[in-house]
Amino acid sequence: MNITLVCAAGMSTSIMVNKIKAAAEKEGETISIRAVSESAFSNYAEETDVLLLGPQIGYALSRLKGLYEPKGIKVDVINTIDYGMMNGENVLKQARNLLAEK
Amino acid sequence: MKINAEFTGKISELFGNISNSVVLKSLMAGMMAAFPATIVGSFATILKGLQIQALQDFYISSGIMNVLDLLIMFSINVTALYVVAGIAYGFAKQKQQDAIPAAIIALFSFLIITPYTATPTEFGTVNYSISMGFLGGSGMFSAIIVGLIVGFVYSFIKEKGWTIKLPDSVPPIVSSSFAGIIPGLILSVFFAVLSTIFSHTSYESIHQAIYSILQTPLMGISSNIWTMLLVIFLGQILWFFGIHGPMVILSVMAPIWMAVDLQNLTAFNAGEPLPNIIGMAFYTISTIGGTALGLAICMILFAKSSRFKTLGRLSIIPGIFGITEPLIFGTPLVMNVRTFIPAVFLPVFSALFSYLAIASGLLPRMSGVGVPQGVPIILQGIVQGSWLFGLLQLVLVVIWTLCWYPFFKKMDGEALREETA
Repeated sequence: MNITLVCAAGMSTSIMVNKIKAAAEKEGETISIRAVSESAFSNYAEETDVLLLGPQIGYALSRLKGLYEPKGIKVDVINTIDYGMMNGENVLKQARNLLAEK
Repeated sequence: MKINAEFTGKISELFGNISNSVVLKSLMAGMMAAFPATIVGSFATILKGLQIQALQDFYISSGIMNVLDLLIMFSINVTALYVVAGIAYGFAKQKQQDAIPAAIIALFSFLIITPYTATPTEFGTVNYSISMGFLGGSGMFSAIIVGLIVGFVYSFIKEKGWTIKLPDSVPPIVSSSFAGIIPGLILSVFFAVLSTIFSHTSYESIHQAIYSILQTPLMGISSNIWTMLLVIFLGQILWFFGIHGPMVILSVMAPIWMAVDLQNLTAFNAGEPLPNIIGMAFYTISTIGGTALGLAICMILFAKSSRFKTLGRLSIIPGIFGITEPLIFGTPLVMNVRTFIPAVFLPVFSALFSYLAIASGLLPRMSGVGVPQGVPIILQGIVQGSWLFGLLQLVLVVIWTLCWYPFFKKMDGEALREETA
């Protein structure tokens, strides 16, 4: 599973990345995950299955959905509380559920 | 709550559209394109600015001073050159066009409008030179305007497909290099004609005209403390609705404030008095992380509920580096009426406090060095040319902690009751 997180500058999401990585490792799953700034995302679209937005740029959801859902990328905003508490397990679950959706 | 969701949805959309506009994104791209040069220049400025006599003597005797001067001269003092190319590049890139030709045409056009002088040498040849004045901070607005015009016209022509048609047998690599010629020709002739016209006006150059008509008044308004307080206030209101407000607002203000900082930096390096109190550096130093670090410190020191104990441990280190999203969403501060007052007004107060400290002469003015993201608080202040700014940030952190305390105490009490209930 390839996950890309985006936020304004890719700073706070990079903390989230570590938490999700740790959660995945604990469950014995290997995932590829990175955090980039929203403006840089187009360079990483090729290697992304799930695109998760930091809630602070939730306003970009409909635009990014419009751009990337046709390319088969699942797009969603990270749950606000999970983001705040940096709950890697929950966000990983969110990514899995997205991918499982038809 | 339903009305709120609809309302925030609308606000989100509006500000999302603003910060996603091609123009603003190109501006940001232009500023970021200059970073490899300006950050090096900033570090050189910091090293050069260390007021230790033995060190300064060593700089001169070892030739290090010359190295530092070169690094500063061709970064800080010619930032507009990099910005103009970066803006046109960013514009063309967003329009999914081949962006390098746009950058080159922008640079070409920018040089065309820059006044040059011809001086005869003793050998009978002529020495041409351009004054560097407009290649730095003073040329920032010309860079923005030229960059945007070039980006727009270039992308427009490419989209329309106006190009020299070559036979199909010509390899694509050759024909693609021809594709930039039409926009290059149109734009450079346009700027050359315009430049010639302006040389006959009292402004003498496009640069001077833009500087006098646009840049000076805009910088005057933007380097006014009240404007900055209003801008910070708006940014925090947006955060209240869960939108990264400063990012939205900075996409408009950053280019202007950076031009203001460049003025200070140029004066700083020349050993002249600094013209401005506020600017991008001032904004960053005085409002880093939107004061939420104070809240994190409250959590570490005073939290009784396990919820805030956890959040405190989680958010303190990022908070020191100015990353406070965990606090904003975890506390939460978003849509939380009870934290509205400190979350919105504390950053405004911090900026006012810092302003008064400098305006009263208690602290010197900031050099305007561009600090890359992720430099920890206090160190961030020190690199502005004086350890006093580190002290300022330390004082601010103490004020933040004290101001957050009563609000935090209440939330913590409630969280504890919920947990034990």
